[in-house]
Amino acid sequence: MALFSRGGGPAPPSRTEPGSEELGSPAFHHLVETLEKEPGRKYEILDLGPASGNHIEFFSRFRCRFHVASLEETLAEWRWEEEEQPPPEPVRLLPLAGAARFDLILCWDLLNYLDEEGLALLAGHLHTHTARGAWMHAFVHTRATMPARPGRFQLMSPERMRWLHGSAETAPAPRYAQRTLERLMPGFGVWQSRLLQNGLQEYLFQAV
Amino acid sequence: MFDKSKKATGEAAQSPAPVQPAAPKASPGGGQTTTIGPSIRLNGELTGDEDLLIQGQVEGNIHLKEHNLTVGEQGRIKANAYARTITVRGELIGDLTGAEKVTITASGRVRGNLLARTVILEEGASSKGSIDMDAKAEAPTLQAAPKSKSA
Repeated sequence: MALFSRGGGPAPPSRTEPGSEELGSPAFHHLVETLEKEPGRKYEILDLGPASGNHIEFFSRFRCRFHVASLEETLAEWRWEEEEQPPPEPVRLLPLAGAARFDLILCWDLLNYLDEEGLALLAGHLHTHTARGAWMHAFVHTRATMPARPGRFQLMSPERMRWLHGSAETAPAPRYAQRTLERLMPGFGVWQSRLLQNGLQEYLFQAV
Repeated sequence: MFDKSKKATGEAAQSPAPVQPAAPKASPGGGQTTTIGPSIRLNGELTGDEDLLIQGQVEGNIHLKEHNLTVGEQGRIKANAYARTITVRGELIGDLTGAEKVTITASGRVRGNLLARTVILEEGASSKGSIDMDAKAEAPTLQAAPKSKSA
């Protein structure tokens, strides 16, 4: 199994400057409004993306414990030459022992860079660390190609983000359909799904 | 907690430290700053009443009551650290508590949990772990670092 869907490893570094674009994020906006309805509640938030001062600043509006997983960095550092050996257990890639149950998981566009087996393993692992009703937010590419590496998302406001492409080079996108996602992630149901203008499908899942 | 990228831990670390820190220098605040140089490896408890710059390797615990700790670009730390302010420019595995502030610069790599009233994460900094933002408990406020030109 290759956790990266293009065959066992991260793409080489880009030679040209990756682009960026602004996008609306209606599902994320709805999510923020929902979290704001319980101002006294302390949230456990897991960010699968890299450490970002912007994200920390944004979520400091809530009482929360913000966990930074930097999953892409972990995957990139993994010794992929040992690929014939049994694939790494998700718990080794994403050690969550001791962490509380998460109320919100931020996937950004990372799911696109996992193959089906990796996605199912990750979702199963995450589900064991979420409470019923917990939220998971993600972007899924619907066009044929996508940047060869996961991007970064800067939160400009609850309803607008800047998507910094991970690479100027492109790779085939797995184009996961909603039915596929629901099959691979049985612990999470689609609560809201919006197709954005730039071809990203914004998903808000809820743990069942 | 984060068990990866462990490089060169080894048992070579000496015990209670025949450390010969460099001569203290005046810090911007008027106090003294002691430097643990790049060739020094220290294993044990480290406490002090002056600012500290670590460019070497330290394993254990670091406790600087009301002073500032800086892990320099060459610093490699495996320790829980407590100080008034903590700035990480090198690598650190452990939990950090800053009475006032924790800053991870663009060159800094931290694997551990952060607790401080103010946490600054510069663009490009690498951090894995949790950051407590419980305003009611400790009133921590968090800031993003100034944006880089390209962002």
